[in-house]
Amino acid sequence: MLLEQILNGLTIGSTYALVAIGFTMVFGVLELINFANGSIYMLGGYITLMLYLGMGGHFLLAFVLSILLTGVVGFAMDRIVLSHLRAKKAPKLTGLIATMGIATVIDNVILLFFGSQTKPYPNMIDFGRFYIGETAVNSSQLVILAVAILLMVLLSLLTYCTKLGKAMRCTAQNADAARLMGINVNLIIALTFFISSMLAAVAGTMVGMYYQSIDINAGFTVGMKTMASAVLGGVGVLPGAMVGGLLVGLFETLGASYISSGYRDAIAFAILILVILFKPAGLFGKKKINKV
Amino acid sequence: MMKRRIAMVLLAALAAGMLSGCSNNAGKTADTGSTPNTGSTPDAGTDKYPKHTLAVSIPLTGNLMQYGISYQNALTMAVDDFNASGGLDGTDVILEINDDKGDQKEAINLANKIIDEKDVFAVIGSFGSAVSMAAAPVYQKASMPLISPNTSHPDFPGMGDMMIPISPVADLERVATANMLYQNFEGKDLAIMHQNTDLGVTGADILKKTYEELGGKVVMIENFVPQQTKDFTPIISKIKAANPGILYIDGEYNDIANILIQISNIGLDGVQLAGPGNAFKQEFLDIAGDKANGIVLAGTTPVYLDSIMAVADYSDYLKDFTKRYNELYPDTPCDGFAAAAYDSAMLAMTAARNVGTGDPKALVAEMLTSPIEITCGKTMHFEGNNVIKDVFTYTVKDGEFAPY
Repeated sequence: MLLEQILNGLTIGSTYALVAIGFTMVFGVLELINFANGSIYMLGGYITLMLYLGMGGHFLLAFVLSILLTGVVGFAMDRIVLSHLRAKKAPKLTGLIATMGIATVIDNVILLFFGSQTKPYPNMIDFGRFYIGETAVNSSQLVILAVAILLMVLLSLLTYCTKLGKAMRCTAQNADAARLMGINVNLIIALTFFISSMLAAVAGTMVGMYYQSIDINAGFTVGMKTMASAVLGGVGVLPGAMVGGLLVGLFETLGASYISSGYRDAIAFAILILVILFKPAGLFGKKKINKV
Repeated sequence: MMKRRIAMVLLAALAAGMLSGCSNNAGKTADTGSTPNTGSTPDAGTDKYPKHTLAVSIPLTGNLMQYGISYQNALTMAVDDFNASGGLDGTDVILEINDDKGDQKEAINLANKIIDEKDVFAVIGSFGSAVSMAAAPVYQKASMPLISPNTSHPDFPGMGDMMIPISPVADLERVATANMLYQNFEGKDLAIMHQNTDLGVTGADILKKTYEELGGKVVMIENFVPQQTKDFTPIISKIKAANPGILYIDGEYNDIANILIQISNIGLDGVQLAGPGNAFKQEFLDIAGDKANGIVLAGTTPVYLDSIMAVADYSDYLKDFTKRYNELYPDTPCDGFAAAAYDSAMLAMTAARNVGTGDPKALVAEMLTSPIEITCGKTMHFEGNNVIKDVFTYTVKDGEFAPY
């Protein structure tokens, strides 16, 4: 049973990781907690479903379009709301509250548009299940795990080996200095939102397929968990978000199976608090010197 | 110093609470004092029906709005039907629909608003035991009859003599389920997976108790948070390790469907699945599909799908209601929630026609003692204010409901 539970935990954890990477990227660049991340994750799942049904079953096309569309929503969210707040030098807290507002708007638009019913979701990654010893392994679990690792590697390459990534890291270090060096800071930030939202769409769709259903509560819990994952791994560090996500998934699953299923979230968050007490910057975070 | 100040504030709050409590009591005695007067002259024509409004508290926005919409459709239909058949001595009953958002606090606020309205003779609401039971004391205190279509918490009838549940308390369904499972599956070991709500917890206790009294063994009880828990795999793996013969899953239809899908993902072979009547919905089959095959579902509401309608021994009244409902509201197919709401309204209005709307106590007595034809089951009668109905058992074959 332990092996099976670990696999369960890693699967759910890798979806947290996907969303957490996007969350941590935005935080890294802007030091902004994006509360709308969970809602965008759900939006991505719904858009894929809508396009899939609307286009009569072209799943891959629907998936790609949905990733782009959700990315555009993230991009627009920065351009229409957050960039104006930055231009007016509003305090960080204002941006945070604004993302909460955006989350509420997205949630309610989905509610009005799709209704509160749970919708069935097509599973395109189900190639049956097989057994390793006593442990049942589902192909969807492996696909989700593989996609998470692949995207993680791609994003690390993007951040640490390309010019765009360099620009992003510069903006994160010091936006003013980056601007002086001729980097279009606003564009870089908007692009970060674009990428982060695309990741959320991938995760939303993968989870929809894995559970073969989607409903309007999907975003809330995931939003909480991804925030926890990012904090656990060290906010702003990409590998940290990945490891954090997997760990939160594992804690939750093992807590649910060996202690009590009713307290799964409480157990996951209690462990999170313990880790933070001993390593305040998170597992991979470095202590920052506050610039005056 | 600080502590003393806090204590003073608390004392003041307590005193204020007591004062307002007293004044409410005073209002109540004044009310009951005046009602016998109107009751003693029942033949005075218009005096018999001093109130004409049927108030409703249901979730029309928020996460539970799908149920509220079913209610709204059926209630509108019921009031139209009733008024078409003469209303209250020629005067139409007015339906006043309020949105409680499926939220306890909203429901209490609404209850306070409704009891202040002079024209309301009964209230229908709300969806879910938690919400109905939060508002129940307000209605009880104001002697306002509350007819609840789907409150099946065992404590609800005991909350006062103004409470009239249309849905039997969970005991009835769970006891019948325990007997059915024990007899049909040779008393195999039972595992229970239930939603962590008032109703889910009590329901699981009753099921366990009854099953053990029959001589069966309950090997595991696990719970999950409804609408929030999305990943059930840890619980399923855990149940797999406990190796039961039967797994009973209690929850709303979407959670049950999700659990079935995840069971098929990670496997739980050779276990008989069972569930409650909540799953008697087309949406349940839309999500779970073939993965629901073989599950045994026992509930107190019938299935309203065409496939079942054709073969089941339902009354003509029920069949006629279903047909008309589906014609009026093609987008939201008839289900047990709509039928229960229709019966609630009909029960209240029929009783009001018989004894008048002046005296709430007489109105409630009439509802409890004079049964009406119903759409949410075969027959219905009351013992005290506990409702007794038949239990239906279905299974799923090739992704469609079938009689078991």
